Amino acid sequence: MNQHYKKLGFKTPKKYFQKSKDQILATNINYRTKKIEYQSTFQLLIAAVFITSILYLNFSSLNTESKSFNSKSPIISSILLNEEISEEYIIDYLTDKIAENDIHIPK
Amino acid sequence: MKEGTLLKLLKNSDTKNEGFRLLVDLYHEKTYWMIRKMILSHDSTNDVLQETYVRIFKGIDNFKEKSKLSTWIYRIAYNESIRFLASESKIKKVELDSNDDNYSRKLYADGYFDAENLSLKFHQILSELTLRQRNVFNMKYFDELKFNEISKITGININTIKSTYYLVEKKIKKEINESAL
Repeated sequence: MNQHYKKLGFKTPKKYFQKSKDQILATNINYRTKKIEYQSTFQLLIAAVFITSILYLNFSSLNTESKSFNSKSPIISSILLNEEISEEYIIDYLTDKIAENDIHIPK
Repeated sequence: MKEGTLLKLLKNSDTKNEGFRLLVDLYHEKTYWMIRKMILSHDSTNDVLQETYVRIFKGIDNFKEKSKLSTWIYRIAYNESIRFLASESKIKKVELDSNDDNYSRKLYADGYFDAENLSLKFHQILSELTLRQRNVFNMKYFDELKFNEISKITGININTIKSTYYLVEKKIKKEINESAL
């Protein structure tokens, strides 16, 4: 490139080309780096949500299982203690519960 | 540095940043002057230059190597400048075959313009040219580009480029000689 443009009277601010170069590099290269950072953060966020969801589902199902029986129930406690549940036992149990009005028979 | 080596750096994601630094080192000053001659104002030229390099950085992966890298860069700069001129005039398409009525106003309004007598005469002649004539002349005379490169950058037929340039050159020589008498 020749230097004829100088004859056109065009001037630039002091150290313009160095500053302009730095600005171009900062805009493009930093933008790209930031974009990668944002992508990584987004991916990490998605992974965290996914893992949390799996953990929540697992633990909530465990909790459901633990809540699904009452260990104070004579039948359950009998099972847990490996006791044999006889027919008489069940009749006694139901008689007690009916006496306590604790069995709800659907209409 | 050879263009092929630079392209290898630019096309590899691991070395793209390094390649881009080298590309900016090599071309950004030339690109600035090319844009400046079209747009005239330093501040606007700086804006267009920044936008040009954003497009270059984003587009380099899609560069098909059908032309020289420098030609591709200048074409982006040329298109960005035309786009700027259109937005400045609030029109959709710049009319390349019309004169820029605001040439002198834009020149004198710029804080980074300080011409001597010969430059003023030169600018007066340039202001009388159409945008197409001025661009062709500037690219050939100042930027020392070849006719086929100018054709690829501007999208104008090479024979039209040649005839335009010789016509403008003749006109400028005549007017400069007349003013010197």
